[in-house]
Amino acid sequence: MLMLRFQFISILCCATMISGSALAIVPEEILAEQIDQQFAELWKRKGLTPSKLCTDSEFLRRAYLHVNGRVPTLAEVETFLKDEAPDKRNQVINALVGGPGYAEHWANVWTIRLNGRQRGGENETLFYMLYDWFEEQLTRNTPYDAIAGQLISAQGSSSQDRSIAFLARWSESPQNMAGRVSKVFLGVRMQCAQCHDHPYEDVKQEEFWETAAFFQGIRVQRPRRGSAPWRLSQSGNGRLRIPDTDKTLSARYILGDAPIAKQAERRRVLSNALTAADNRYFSLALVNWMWAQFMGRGMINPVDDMSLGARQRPMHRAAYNLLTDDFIAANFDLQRLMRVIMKTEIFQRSAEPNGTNRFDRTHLSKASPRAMTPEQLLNSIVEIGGFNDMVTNSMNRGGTGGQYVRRLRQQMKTFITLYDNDEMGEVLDFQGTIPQALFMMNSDIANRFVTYENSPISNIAESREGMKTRMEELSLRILSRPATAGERRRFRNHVNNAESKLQGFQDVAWVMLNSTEFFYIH
Amino acid sequence: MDTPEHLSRKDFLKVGAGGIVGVIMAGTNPVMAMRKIAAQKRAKACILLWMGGGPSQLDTFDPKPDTMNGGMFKAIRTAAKGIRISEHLPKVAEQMRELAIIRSMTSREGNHDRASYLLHTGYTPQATVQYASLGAMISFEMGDLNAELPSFISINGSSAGPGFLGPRYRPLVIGNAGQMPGNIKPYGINEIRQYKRWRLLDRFEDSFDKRRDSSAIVAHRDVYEKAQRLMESKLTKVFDVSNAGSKQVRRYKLDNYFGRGCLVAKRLIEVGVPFVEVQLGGWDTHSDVFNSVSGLSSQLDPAFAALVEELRADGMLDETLVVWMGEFGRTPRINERGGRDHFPGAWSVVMAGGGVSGGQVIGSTSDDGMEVKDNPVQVQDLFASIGQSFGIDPKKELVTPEGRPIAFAKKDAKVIDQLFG
Repeated sequence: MLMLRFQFISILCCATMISGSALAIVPEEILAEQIDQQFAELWKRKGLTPSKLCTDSEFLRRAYLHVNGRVPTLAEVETFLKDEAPDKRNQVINALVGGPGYAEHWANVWTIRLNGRQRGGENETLFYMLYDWFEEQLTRNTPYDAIAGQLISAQGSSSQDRSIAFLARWSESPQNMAGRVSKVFLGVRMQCAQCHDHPYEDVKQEEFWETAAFFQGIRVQRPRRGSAPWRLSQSGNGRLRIPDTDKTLSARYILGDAPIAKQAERRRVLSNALTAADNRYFSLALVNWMWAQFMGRGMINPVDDMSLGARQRPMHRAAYNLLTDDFIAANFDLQRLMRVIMKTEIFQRSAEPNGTNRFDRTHLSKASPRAMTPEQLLNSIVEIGGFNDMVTNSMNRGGTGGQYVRRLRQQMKTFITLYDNDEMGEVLDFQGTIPQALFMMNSDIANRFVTYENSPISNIAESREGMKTRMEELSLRILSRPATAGERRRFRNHVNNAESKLQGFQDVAWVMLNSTEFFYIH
Repeated sequence: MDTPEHLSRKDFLKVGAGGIVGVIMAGTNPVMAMRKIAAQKRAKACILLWMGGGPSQLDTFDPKPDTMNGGMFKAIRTAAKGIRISEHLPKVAEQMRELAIIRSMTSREGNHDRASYLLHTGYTPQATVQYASLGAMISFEMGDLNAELPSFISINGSSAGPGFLGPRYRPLVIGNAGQMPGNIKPYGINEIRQYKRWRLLDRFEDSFDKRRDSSAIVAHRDVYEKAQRLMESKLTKVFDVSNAGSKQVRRYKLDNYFGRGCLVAKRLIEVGVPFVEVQLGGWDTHSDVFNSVSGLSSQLDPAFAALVEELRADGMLDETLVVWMGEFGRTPRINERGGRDHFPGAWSVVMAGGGVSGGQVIGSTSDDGMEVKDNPVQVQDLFASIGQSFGIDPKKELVTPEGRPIAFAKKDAKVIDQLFG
């Protein structure tokens, strides 16, 4: 809405006319190449030589962390490193995106994006409700326009439709809901126009309230008991008064000429207009966000406040348009978009700089190491530590695995609060904090996996294999790469001088787990 | 402050994040430079009492009983002649001779995120610069990076980040006020084994660093260093309030987290930490404002009063600036749900110590509370005044890694002279 006037949009719209013929669907690999070419030209202009491609180990770890939210298992690493197929990277991408583990992790990413990380009480109930809904949509690969449309217009009982958990989370006021919708689905924070005209862009206070009016009259009924359904309903006439004024406004879609919406289903009017294929801004915002998930920065930044970035010329606008055109032409296919991004060489660059690109922070001529999100970190610990096996074993013995699952959930919650990011919202760049380092060094869960009986680590320590093989396994398991000769030597010395072999291996595992290399996606 | 060491800090900053490390390794200590000019009443430390959500000025420090927008609370006399505040802040009222109330704060941000950012950094969010929060700036100016405890600690909430100053000035966030930080003890291993692990980790990290080039990676090692220093520090005992005397238990009301936070803040200042933020959330009272605010006041009142009283009794108040604020005020008009909504137009901030003359009110609002009547104070003026309290020239510029100078407060910011008069 109202974004016709945003500068970044006008820049992009010009470009679209030029690339407007690209509406036919091309194979993903070709599209990825076209995007690479655009970047190659940019680097040439800027005098940058791109870093070489990352190693297979780095690629695999990156791919798994991005798609499945965890590091690859020992078996997955071994299989991939042995594979000699020239297109093995693309094969892994095809298998991962949409494969087992994808929906689970991305349901979490999406739910955090929509409802925030803040847990506890009602937020938590709604979080898991929305999570379940997303897991289903992502498994089915529901097109993004349908997902967005449903989230904006959802109503009824949560026993029928769990997607109400998004608006219910922000139902405190129409302003809140409108602000969240514009932030998520258009990449624009409108809420600052609540009290006054937008300070940077041509967004009028009245336009904000006309948008908010779509959400007027929403009522959320909370259940008396924890497990009973929630209900979201809407009545009213879609009119809102700007506080402390005498001005009353009607719901109006301010991007186009859509009529004033008075009926109770007025949100349907909004969602139809917003997600229509000719509303390019809707797709631009999503592509920008998705790109940033994989590359660490958006085509336009900040990702959730693109209007702020409006004055930055999107340097990669041709590539941005290629991706956006394809996303629309391919019927808003989230999985395809993800695969294309991963198949570019840009995604597969090494983080090691060369003489020309040491200081490149914006042109993606090298990968920039990024800290794992708390979810990625904890899921990886769970995988490496064999906690999933513990749950399975407990179930095989007739148990429920419940104590482990409960324990993990609890730990997850504590763990996330150790990251002190503002408002616990959606953050791309997590940086370690002191409490998080203390957790990794000293907590029960981060240590238990090196100590419990029959853990993968104690199995390695007690295995009859030679020292070299055992070091190799430990390194592949935790760091997804073979150990270097120097590391093997140092670690062997440490193990030989430790009080027991078991303690020695525990120490080595502890060191790997607490290393920068483990903590970062690089 | 323009000692040669300091100039070199600035120069180093200009070359980017790698440069910051160089300076820190050199071990400069701006505190030493500051001490030389400490002859006047100058703050050396700051405690920020952050009222997340935006506290209602009319129901706390700018009461207007018996007016249309006045609400349900009465106003009571305070120790300072002629100044009245909410009846739910009786203990704070006793300390009023130490407090200055600014009733004419005015800003334009009515959104929580943006306003919190503004009041924490002095600037509205911009795409191209990550501004540094007050805590990071004060710890940059006053802190010692080699101290056992981090120089920016935030209790009960996360404050705002260090922005362009970099992750070294990120706050240590304490979630469980009054207890030792979590996971501070090694897990089931003795000290010798712990040191061996740390040494092995160091060697491992060295080889990783050589292959990469990233300030983020440098930051990670720094965080581990700090965490390990914290594990070894004896000073961490100040986080644990279980040993507090019964008098303090009563005074601060240690049964609630804000009370515990205030006591810990005072102890942290005592051991040399230059900036502590203590948060009390829940002020976003869109409905049922009177019940909510009287409840919150029962936590705020004893702790705020005890903090000021003890700082004074221990002779620390002159060097400790205490600031009470949230991100904005609340609408004078009471809405249909008995609540008040966001209102950045006219609201209140309270300050004490650090050279601030207490027992005064600065500025005022109209009878209906809708606008500032006189002495409007912008956020930038507030920041300039906080700088003034520390003897920091508000126009002093810090340089971002991209080489862009950022002033502690903008050129047109005015120090509120009346505060220090």
